[in-house]
Amino acid sequence: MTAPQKPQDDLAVLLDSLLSELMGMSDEQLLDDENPATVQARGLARLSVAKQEAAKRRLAGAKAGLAMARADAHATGGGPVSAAQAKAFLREAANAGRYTMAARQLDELSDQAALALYSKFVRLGVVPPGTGDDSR
Amino acid sequence: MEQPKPADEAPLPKAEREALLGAMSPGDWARVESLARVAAHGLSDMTAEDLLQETLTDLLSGDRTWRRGVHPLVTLKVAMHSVASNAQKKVDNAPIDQFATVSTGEEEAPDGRPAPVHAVERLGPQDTLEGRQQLAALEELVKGDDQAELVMMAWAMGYSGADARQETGLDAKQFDAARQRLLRKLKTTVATRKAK
Repeated sequence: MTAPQKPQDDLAVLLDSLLSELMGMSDEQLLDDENPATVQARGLARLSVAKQEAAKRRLAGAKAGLAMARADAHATGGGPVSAAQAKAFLREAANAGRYTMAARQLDELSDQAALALYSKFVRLGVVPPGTGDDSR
Repeated sequence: MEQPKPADEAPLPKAEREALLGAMSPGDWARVESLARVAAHGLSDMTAEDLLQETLTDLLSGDRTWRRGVHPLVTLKVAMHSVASNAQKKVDNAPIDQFATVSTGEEEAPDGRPAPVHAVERLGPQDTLEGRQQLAALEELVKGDDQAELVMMAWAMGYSGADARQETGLDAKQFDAARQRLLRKLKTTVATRKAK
């Protein structure tokens, strides 16, 4: 079956061995008296939930991209970003799950704090330089 | 100009990912559930079910790669390990619990309150990094069942199948029975945790 592997992550080695072991077991042994239809239905139900969650993530990602594009377009227009616009951008970015932000509610942020956070995003390159209050 | 990637390194499109996962047999779903139970064991913030659900979502959303030609179970195993590893790091990097009670090593287990924590962490960063913390939790799970412990150790050393059996010194019947007890124990532990 398998030869001992070069030590790496202990859990990774265990999972490799386990998968190899499970592949060598019969379905009967694996199901262990559980109804095959029940096990498959459970798996397919998880898959269905995952499809919906994945669609939500893609939508949130698209919204965040749109918000960034809007912020960029606003910047090329030359005007500073308002607190409301900064909050809208931060909300989209947090919903997309792509950025880690402070664990406080955005609504609780003062306008000044929202603009400061937005400014940090600009400095980090999340928002193209030259936008909003980055010019300060 | 960027060279096109070889076919086997190209990520699998979403529709193909869905089709492969949707075509998994009951046996394969049972296999992936067993893998999830082991990968999530010892995690404080994530159950095996959460881990499997999160991994499926990551794979379907494209947040995790799936190379063409790689079996769904192998892809799921690698992705689940990665998700579990990230969850463990999140816990390890979390702020110190200022309300925790430090253990004196002599007190009784508190009733309905969190157990006292040890002032000195026996596991170093390297242990956490290499998954030893979770392995220790798995060893604790089979403590008292010498044969199941041997099976677990053989897997942890990288042996499987006939090699694992030979390593444990058990005969085929003993090995199969110990393996079944181990897998059942994991299943029961998950069910108990879910019921809480």
